[in-house]
Amino acid sequence: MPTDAAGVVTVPIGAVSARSVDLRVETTGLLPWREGAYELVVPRVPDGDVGLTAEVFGPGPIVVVSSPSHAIDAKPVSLEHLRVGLRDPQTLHDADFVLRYRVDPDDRPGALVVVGDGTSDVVGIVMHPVEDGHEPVAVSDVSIDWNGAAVTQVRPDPVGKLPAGTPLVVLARAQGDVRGPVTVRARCGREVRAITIDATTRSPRPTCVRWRYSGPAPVAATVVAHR
Amino acid sequence: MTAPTAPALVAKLDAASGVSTVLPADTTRVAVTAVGPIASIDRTKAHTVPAGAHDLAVSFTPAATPPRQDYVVHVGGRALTILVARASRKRRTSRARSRTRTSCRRTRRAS
Repeated sequence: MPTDAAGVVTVPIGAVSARSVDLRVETTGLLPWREGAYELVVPRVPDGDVGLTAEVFGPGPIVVVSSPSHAIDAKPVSLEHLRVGLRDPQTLHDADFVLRYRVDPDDRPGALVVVGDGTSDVVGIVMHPVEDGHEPVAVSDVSIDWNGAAVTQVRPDPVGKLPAGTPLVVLARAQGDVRGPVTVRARCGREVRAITIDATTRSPRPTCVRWRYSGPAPVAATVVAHR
Repeated sequence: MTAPTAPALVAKLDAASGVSTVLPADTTRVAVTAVGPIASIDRTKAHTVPAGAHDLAVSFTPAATPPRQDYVVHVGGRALTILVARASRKRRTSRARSRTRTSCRRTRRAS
């Protein structure tokens, strides 16, 4: 694969005679939890006309949403779903877009997300960072009671420790229904907490969960040529 | 999350010189989906290509972290999976291996 001295990889895709070509780049990842909120960073777009929409799903009621970088419009679709846009999308030319949102883990610690994936489902436990009086705390000895659900290929297994402010994301392949609730047990200091993750939620836009589980890569690029 | 150095579309507009040019995007549409801490950023850049047949390529810089970063490029009905492994972070060089496979994803033919 041609790579220049600066480490730039170039992947040839052949001769194209189309006048219009789209390059679609999908990136997935886990967001950091900073000062009590998830923080998403969208790299700036240096040129051209720009549009941006963000669909944010708790899980759980979203209690705070803000951007330290841009003026935003946030419209609640429901308590757990916000649609966020830039007041002036062209400002994405100038700076990375930073979006912060908080879901109160005391209100809803997380959710079970199930995504169809061909012959079986991918099920994910998405649990917000554990807090004690609104302060994130580290947990250890994390174990999961799947409530009898037939799950395989659990990742990660075992979970082990979670530093303070780290969300728990456990993905598995499910054979049959996973109705929940599941119970996450974790040691916080001397105390062992049993955290109930409520009944299965079918996320409206779960692609990122499936992609994170079975996608070959956290980044995918798609080229579409229009004649 | 910050996306790694973004893949860009490059073209050899002048076949004689063989010099590749990064095609500027006319429009960029960014769609973000976040489910709690899991986020997906979908960025679609539309480019206008000068008339005629041109050799196109996707160019990107593998991120320093994670040390290994894989990419998939779909062209027409084929998918090219690029497995990237850094040979030396110090020198900022990388090795890349690739394999092709049939893609079930339905895309228009690129050429």
